[in-house]
Amino acid sequence: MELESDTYDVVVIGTGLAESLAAASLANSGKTVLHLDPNEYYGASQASLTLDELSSWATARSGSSASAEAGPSTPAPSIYISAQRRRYTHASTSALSPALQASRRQYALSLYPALLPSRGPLISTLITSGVSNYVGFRILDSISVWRGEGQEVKRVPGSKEEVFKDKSIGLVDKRRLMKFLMFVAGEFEGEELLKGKEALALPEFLAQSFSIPPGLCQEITYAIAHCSSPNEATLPALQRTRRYLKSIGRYGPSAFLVGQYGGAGEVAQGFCRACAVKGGTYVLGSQADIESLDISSEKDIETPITMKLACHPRPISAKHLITTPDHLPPHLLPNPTGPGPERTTAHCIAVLSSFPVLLRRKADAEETEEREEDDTAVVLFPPEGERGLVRGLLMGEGTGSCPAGQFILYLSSTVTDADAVDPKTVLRPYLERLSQEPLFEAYYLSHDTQSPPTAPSSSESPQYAAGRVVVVESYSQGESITEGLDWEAEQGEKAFWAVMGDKDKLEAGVKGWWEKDGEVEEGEGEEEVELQGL
Amino acid sequence: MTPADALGALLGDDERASGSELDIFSVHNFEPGSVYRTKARMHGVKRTRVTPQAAEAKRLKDQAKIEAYVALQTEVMQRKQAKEYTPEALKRTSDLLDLNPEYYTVWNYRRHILLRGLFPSCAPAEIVNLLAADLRLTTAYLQIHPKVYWIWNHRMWCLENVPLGPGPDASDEPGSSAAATTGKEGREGWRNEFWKTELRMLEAMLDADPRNFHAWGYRRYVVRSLPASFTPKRTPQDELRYTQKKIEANFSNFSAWHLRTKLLGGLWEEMDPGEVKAAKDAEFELVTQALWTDPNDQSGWLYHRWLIGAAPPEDVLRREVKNIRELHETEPDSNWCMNALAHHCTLLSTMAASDEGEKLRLEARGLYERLEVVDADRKERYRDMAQRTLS
Repeated sequence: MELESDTYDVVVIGTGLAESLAAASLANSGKTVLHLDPNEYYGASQASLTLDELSSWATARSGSSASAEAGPSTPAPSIYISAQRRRYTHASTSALSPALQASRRQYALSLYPALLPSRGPLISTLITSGVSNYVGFRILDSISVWRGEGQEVKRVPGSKEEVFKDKSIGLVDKRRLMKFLMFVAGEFEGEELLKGKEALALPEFLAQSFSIPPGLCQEITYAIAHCSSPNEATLPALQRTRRYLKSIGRYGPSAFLVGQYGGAGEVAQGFCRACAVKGGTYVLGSQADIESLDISSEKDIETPITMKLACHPRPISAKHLITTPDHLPPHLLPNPTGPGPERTTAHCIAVLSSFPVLLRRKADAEETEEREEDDTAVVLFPPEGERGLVRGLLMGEGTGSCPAGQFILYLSSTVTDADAVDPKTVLRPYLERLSQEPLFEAYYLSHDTQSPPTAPSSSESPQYAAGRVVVVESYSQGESITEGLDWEAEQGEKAFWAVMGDKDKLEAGVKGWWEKDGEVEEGEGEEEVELQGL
Repeated sequence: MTPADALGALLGDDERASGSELDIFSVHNFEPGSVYRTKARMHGVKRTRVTPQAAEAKRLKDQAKIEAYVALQTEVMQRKQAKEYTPEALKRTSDLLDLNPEYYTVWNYRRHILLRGLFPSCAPAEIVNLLAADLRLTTAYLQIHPKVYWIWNHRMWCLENVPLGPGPDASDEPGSSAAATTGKEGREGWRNEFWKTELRMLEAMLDADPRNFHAWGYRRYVVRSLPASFTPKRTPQDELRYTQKKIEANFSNFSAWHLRTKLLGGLWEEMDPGEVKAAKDAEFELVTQALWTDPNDQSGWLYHRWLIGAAPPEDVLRREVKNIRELHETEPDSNWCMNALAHHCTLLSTMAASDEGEKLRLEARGLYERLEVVDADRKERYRDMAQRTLS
C-alpha cells in the first residue's frame, strides 16, 4: 500500500472526537490532512464498539508487559498500547452467550457515554459543519435520583412544566424551587442572594439562600446542576446550571440530547467522513502503525514532523501534528517531567434484557394519554457512606445501541483509592438495584491526568510554542457526562486555531466553522425568544 | 397603523417600515383589517425596527409590487361589480387573496362565485371537489396567517356547504370509503371525511401554536358540529383530557383553561351537587399547582376567579383565602396574587360576622394601597376598589 503524497499540511493521529473535529475543519479550510488510527475502528477513546469489539478492546488493555504469553518472539507493545494499558486498567467482560455472539453486531457500546447539551460548542459545530446530517439524536427522556429510604427512583423536574406536574413536591417547596430556577437562569453574578457565598458548597447555598429542604437540595445538586460531589463551589456550579437551563426547549423539554449508535463515536466518525469528503486521507489499523516519529527541534523549519509509517515506503513529512498523549513517546510529551494528579473513574457497561422496573412510570389515575416508557434515562445515586456519586445512563433500542427490548446501562463513579479498587466491586451493587440478570457486563477503570491546559512552553520542543504540535487533552474533571462532549469540541477548535495561526489568516472564501472572534452564530433572533420552560 | 404599513406587511416585509409614506389615494379600496405578520411568529418575539432611510429604499423597491397589486384589486372589483361568476373570476380572486387574505369582500365574492356561478351546474361530487380545493387553499393560507378571521370563516362556510352523500343511489366503487359508510352513515359520508380532516388540521395547528385562540374557538365549533354518525366520538371528557395535555405542556395558556370552563360548565349541570363539589375541588387543586409554580401567570388566576364564581360556598372561599394568603407571604410583589386576595377578602367579608368582616375589608384595603404603588399604571382603579371597601 502506498499513500498519494509524501508531504501533508497536517497529520492527525487518533480518530477521537476532538482530533476528528480538528481534522475535518482543517480539511474544510483547504489543508491537506493525513488522519491515522492504529485501531481498526473510528473514535479512539470515544469509540462505539460492537460486543465482540468491546471484548477485544478489554483483552488488549488487560495484557501487561509481563504477560504469561510474553516470549522472545512476542513484539513489544506499541507506544499507543502501552499508554492505553496505563489509561485503562482492570478491564473485564463477561462471556458472550451464543445468542449474544450471534447478535453482537447489533450493539453500539460507547467508551464515552455522554449527554449533548442542546446549546454549546459541539452542537453549534455540528450544525455549522453539516455533520449533524450524519448523526441522529434523541431527546433525553428523564433524569431521576435514587432515594435510599424508599429504595426507589424519583424523576427530577427541570423545567416549569415539570415542576407544575410533579405531585410529590409540596406547594411551598415548588415555589422555592421555581425561585431558584428563575434565579439561576438570569444574571446572578453580583446578586445579593449570592454575595459572599460564591465559594460555599452548593447544597449549603441552596439551604441558606432559598430555604430548600435537604432532599430537594440533593435533587438540585446532582440532577439539575449535575455536580459530582456535594462539595462543589456554588459559583461555577450555578454557571454550569445556567448553561443547561438555557438549553431546555431548543429541541424538546430536556436540555440534553442522546446520540445514536453510541453517541460520541458516531459523531467522531461523522467528522472523519466530512474530512474525507474534503480530501482527507484515512488509514486505520496496522497499516497506520508508526514505526518512527521525529519532531525537529529547529525553529522555522517548513515540515518539522517526520514519521515512518507501515503503509508508505518513504518517510512522511508534515507541517503540523495533532494527536493525543497516548501516541507520543514519553520524551515528546508536552510535560516530559511527568503527569499531574490523576482522576480514576470506575466504569460499567451492561446489557439489560428489559426495562428496569424501578424506572417504570407510576400508574396515574389521571394520565392524559398512554405514555410509553422512556427510551433514554439518567439515574443518579447520591453519595452513600464512603462511596461517591454514581451516575447511570440508560439507552434503549431507539438509540440504535441494542436490539429491540434490550437496554444498555452505563454506570460510572470517581474512585479515590485507585490502587486497591476493583471496578466490579464498586459498581455491581448499583447494577443490581436496577437489574437482576444482565445479559452482559463489562468493567474497567479509566485514569485521566488532571493537568491544566498545557502551555506549550517546554524548551525541549519549540514546535509546541509555534503551534506545530498540538496535543489534545482528555476531559479530567468530574462532570464528564454533561461536559465531556463540549470539552472535546473546544479541544478540537483549539487545535484548529493553533494550526491556522492568526485568526485573520482564514482566506477569503474559505468558510471556517467558527467566526473570527470565536463566537458561533446561533439562529437569528434566538436571544429574543422567551426562555422555554421558565 | 396606516394602510401603507399593512400593505408593506403583506408584501413580505419582515420589518415594519416606520415612517414610509404612501399615497393613500392609490389604495382607496384597501381595507386594512388588523396587523398580521406574513411570517408566523411565536409569542414573545420582539420586532426589529428599521431606519427611515432603509424604509424609504424599500418603498421604492416595492413600488412595482404595489402597482401590480392595485391593478389586480381593481380588476377583481370590476368583475365583482359586473357579477361575473366564472371559473376565471374564481382564479383571479385566489390571486388577490394570495397577496391579501384579509380582504373579506373578496372572500364574499368568492363564495358568491361558487354558490351562484359554479355549484348550480355541478353534481354533488363536483361540489365536494371544489370545497375540498378551497379547504386546501385555506390550509395553505393558515400556515402563513394563522390568525386571520376571514380564513377561518371561509373554512366554516365550506363545511356548512358540503352536500349530504354519497347517497345509497350514488355509484360507489367497492372498497371506497364512501361504500364503507353505508346505511345511516351513508348520507354523511362526505361530511364525516371533511370533519376528520378538520380535527387533524386542528391537532397540527395547536401543536404548532397552542395559544392561538382562533384555533381553539374553531376546535369548539368543530367538536359541537360533528354529526351523530361521526366516529370516533369526542366526548367532553376527551376534550377535557386534551386541555389537560396542553396545560401540562405549558400552563400559560388562557385558551386551554377557557375551554375547560366551557366543558366543565356543561358537565356540571348534569351532576348532583356532591359530585360537583368534588369536581370543583379537583380543579382548585390543579389550578393551585399552576398558581404556586408561577404566581405571575394570569391564565391560572383568571381560571381561579371563574372557579370561585359570584357566590361560592363559605368553606371553599375561606380555604382559598387562606391558600392565597400563604402564597402572598412568599410572593409579596405578585400583582395577581394581591388582586385575587383583595377580591376574595372583600367577598368573604359579606358572609362573615361584622367584626371579622371589618378585618377582612381592612386587609383588602391594605392590599389595594400596596397595589397602587406596585402597579402604578392602574392606581386609579385600586383607589376606587379601596374606596368601595369602606362602604
